[in-house]
Amino acid sequence: MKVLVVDDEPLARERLVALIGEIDGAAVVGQAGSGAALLEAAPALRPDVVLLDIRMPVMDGLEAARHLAALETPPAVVFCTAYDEHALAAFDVHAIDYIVKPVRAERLRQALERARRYGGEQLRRAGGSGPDRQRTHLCARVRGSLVLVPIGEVAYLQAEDKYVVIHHARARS
Amino acid sequence: MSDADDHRWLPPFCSLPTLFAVMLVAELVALIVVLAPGADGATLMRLGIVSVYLQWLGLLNAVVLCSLRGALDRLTPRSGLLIAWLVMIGVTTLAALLIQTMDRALGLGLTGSGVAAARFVPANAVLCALIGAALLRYLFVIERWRERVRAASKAQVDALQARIRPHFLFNSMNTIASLIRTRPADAERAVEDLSDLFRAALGANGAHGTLGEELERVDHYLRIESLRLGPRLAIRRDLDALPRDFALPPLLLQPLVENAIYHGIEPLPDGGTLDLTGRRLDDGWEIAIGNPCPARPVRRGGNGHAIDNIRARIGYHFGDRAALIAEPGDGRFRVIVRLPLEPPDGHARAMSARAR
Repeated sequence: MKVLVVDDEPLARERLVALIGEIDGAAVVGQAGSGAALLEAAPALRPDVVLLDIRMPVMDGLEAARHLAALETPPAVVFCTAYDEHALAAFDVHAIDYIVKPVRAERLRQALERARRYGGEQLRRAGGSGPDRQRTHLCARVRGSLVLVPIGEVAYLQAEDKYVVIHHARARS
Repeated sequence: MSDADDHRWLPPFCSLPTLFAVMLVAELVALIVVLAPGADGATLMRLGIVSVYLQWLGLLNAVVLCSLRGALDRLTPRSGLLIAWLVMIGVTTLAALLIQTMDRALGLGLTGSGVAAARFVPANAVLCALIGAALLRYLFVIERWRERVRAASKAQVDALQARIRPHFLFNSMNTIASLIRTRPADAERAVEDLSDLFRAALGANGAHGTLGEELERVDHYLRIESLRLGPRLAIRRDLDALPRDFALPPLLLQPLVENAIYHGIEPLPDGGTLDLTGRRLDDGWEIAIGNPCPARPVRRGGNGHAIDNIRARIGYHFGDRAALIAEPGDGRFRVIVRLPLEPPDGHARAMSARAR
């Protein structure tokens, strides 16, 4: 099972990587330090599970999870957070599990087991919906990869057949 | 405020508000005595004489009770009030006797003649008993109420003390868990730093400390955050001008630094530089905490809450001789704490009260 670890704190990532290393059948395929870095790396790495910190600068874990749902085969999302004030919000974006830091090895094993059983289907069904939290980015699929457009740079949205085209500061997607 | 002051239940008879109340009641009684039916003519002259007598009586009672306050305070409120009441009756009876004797010797006839003269002293005692009971009761209730307000505000200030964000605790624990594997020495120091912070937050150091200890606590806190945030947190310190032994309650600066990280540097993807400066002003000390921050606040719970807390505590400890000023700017935030040159006098007294 391929795992991608996302946290803005290097030491927190380091620990998760070490713990996953001790779990049979799980391997870390990559690390990301922000929501944007995760969405950039996810299409190429095709992880089965993303361990996602909720509190990160600019784009938080909840928003990143909604964007992940736009992938062809979305990974299962397991949220990690230091203090469980986001548990309900996490269920809104159909996380497979929710674990608190410092993560226990046993608890992490359970979460990965759940992810193995249920896969990323939950996330796909969520279809990127969720509560109306303030979005910072729009997410577009361009030739199999995800492109993030900051809301501030969007000029306008245009309906074109089955698609919506985003015209933004840099180009259009 | 010393500890002994906290448990006083008897009103301070020498204080101006109490004296004013005593004089007001004395004057009211004088008016009643002069205007009452059966009194021989409501002349201004008589009002003057009765007023002078009753004011003298009232102030005499207040002075006697004021000097007995220390002894009465050691009794229970019930017996203390009873004794205070008996003392009032005793003082009034003696004073009335004295006045009557002087009056007779001088032959002025101010205390009446015949039956009225025989009734003068007992009437004084009974009136004093009635009015004294009502006045004592009123002052006692007022004092109780003041005491309750004082206790409530003290409790509020105490409650403001222990506020370290749970996020910080669990993130720090997570950092330590990670360090134990790779850098045990750093993990050890982080545990020590965290313990110091929580010792202060749980009130184990009492309500007293020094500026030097608080700056050390800020350092401990920043060391933990530096481990967590890595290169995203840069710190610039210029604090050498500050007096280390200045008396300052614990956790007056650390929460402001925590705020700067939580609302300012942590939500920025590239972090930023935290500026700590301390300098001497003409009439005090100034400590400034500056940080970059996102254009719009990201974190819930706003910045204002913690700042209001600290402001309330600064007000409680220093009165209006200290201030906290928040300066939101364009992409930057700065809070300034102004302290007086000397800590409040009450501090030294409170310390000696605790030592006893």
